[in-house]
Amino acid sequence: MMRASGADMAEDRKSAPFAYDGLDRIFHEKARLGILTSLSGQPKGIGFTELRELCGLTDGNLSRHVQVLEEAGLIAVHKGYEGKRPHTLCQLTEQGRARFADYLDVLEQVLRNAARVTRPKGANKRAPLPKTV
Amino acid sequence: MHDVETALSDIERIRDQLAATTRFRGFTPSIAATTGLLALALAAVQSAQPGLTGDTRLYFVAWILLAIISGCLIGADAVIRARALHRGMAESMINTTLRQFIPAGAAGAVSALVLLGRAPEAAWLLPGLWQLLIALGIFAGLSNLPRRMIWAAGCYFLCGSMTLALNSAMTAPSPWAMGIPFGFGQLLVAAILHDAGKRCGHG
Repeated sequence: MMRASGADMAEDRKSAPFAYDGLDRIFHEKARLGILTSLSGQPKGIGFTELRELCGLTDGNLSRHVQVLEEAGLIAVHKGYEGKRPHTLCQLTEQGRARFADYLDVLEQVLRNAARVTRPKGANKRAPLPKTV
Repeated sequence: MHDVETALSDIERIRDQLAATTRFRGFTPSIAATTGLLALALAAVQSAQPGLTGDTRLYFVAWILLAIISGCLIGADAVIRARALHRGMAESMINTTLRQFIPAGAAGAVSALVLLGRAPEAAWLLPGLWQLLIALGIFAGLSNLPRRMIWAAGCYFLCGSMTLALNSAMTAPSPWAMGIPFGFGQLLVAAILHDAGKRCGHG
């Protein structure tokens, strides 16, 4: 899948500030956002069972989303054994970290723009203004 | 507005979480190697001109200046590279890295000021102490550095301990007590960074 670089995204923001091309659909899904957020603070990864509990997903749902993320190169899945029991470990890849950080940037920008546009006219002007595009 | 602010603070928290567990890619092998070579060059100049090491303060002033130059080179390069590579996470990662290294740097500066100003007869402690502090700084930053950087930290720790033990028997500080540990220590750091860069496909 083709993806815009940071410089391209910045250029796009100037020409079409509300296009939000960086809101990659692969991240912009509730379950996958939960999976990536859970993995973001775990450099050594999380087991499938723990991830399922953290995200409140069924085995089938989690497997499906994990597969999508793995195929996109955003997470790595290591299958092994813990003692005699099979153990699946999910871990964010370097590419996944960088792309998730880019996605968070765009998401933040969406919120800041929304706050700016919907700000009531009589709002307190001393309140901290959101950063603009 | 409240929901938006909550969402923005959630994003900030996730980004910090991501930054705290992401490898900092701001350090470059070429700059680390340059600082190592500068240390070896200074040791060579000082040992070729014994007059320079006769005066303890002059000896240490030269090393302090080199440390400042090296710190500025590494810092400026790291900030520029981190902003280019880590983009949204850059500020958070730079702050995390600073928090890890500043205590060791501050301790090194304070120990130099106190020992050279108040107890110059104990200044022989400084080379070993500085090496130990660099080791502690690297140990503190290991979670955001390549895993093999533990070897560089161990090397600095071992050199610091040995320098402290050997320097106690010397009447004048040896240029190589600084040059060898910092020169080869930084070259080892450069080799580890180079290897880590190759492994993840970044320069």
